Amino acid sequence: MSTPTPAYGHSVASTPSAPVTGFNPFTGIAALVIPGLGHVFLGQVRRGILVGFGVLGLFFAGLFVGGIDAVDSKEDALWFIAQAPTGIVAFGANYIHQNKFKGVDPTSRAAPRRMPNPGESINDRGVIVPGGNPPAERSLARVHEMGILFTAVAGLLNVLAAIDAMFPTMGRKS
Amino acid sequence: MMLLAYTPFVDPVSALWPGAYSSALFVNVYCLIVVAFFTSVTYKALRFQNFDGPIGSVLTVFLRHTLVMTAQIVFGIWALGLLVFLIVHYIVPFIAPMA
Repeated sequence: MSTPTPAYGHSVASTPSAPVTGFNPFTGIAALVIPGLGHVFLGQVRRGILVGFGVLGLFFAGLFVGGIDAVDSKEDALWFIAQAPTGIVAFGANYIHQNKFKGVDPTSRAAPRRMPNPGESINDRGVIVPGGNPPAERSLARVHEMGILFTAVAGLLNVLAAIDAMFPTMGRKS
Repeated sequence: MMLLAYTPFVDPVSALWPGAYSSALFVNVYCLIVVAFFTSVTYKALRFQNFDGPIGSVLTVFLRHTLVMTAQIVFGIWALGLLVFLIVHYIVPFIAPMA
């Protein structure tokens, strides 16, 4: 009769491809760039894929609820600190938001770049002009809050994943 | 570019049910289940010990752990909400009745 394998126990990788030592900053940085990549570099491919699925799934769920407006390093700078650890997707979403969905407001000096309101559009030179339709509507109220919250929680979860990848011999119960 | 502006978790819901996200159900059910599920996936991916073996059986066990944790979060939050409701509507007026 075989002994059942415990669901929890001391780690982890069956075939580690990187040295599993007490502290591995490279895998931590890799996890912060692309969620799950740190564990993949440790040889824990399945774990890395599932971490990536969880973090990226939550991040994109935030974008699907709040729209691209949920990630904004200019207008929601404090929230972006929490979103940024999601890595390349957070910075990519912010780049697209700032450069594709915002235009220059010629009437304002305080907020020179903003999303156009309904009834406005962005012309070829990136200037907000009356008429037409905006490329996206701002998310408002509860939808906006949920979008920001999802993406921020995704970033903070990836901090935990990065710490786990950085200290690969700690954390799991034996 | 317009595709990037689409919010698939909101637009279809609001088309089928106008004003859906003004409803408390939007946060308390719809969003809570989504955030609880993905948080559980990440947490269990970090804590789960044994990913060796056939992928089907590993994922089955993993999914069961994940769904249990999702249910714990969702029902825990609902229980906290019910507790706060009872405190605000019954216990506080009992302790300090309004004139």
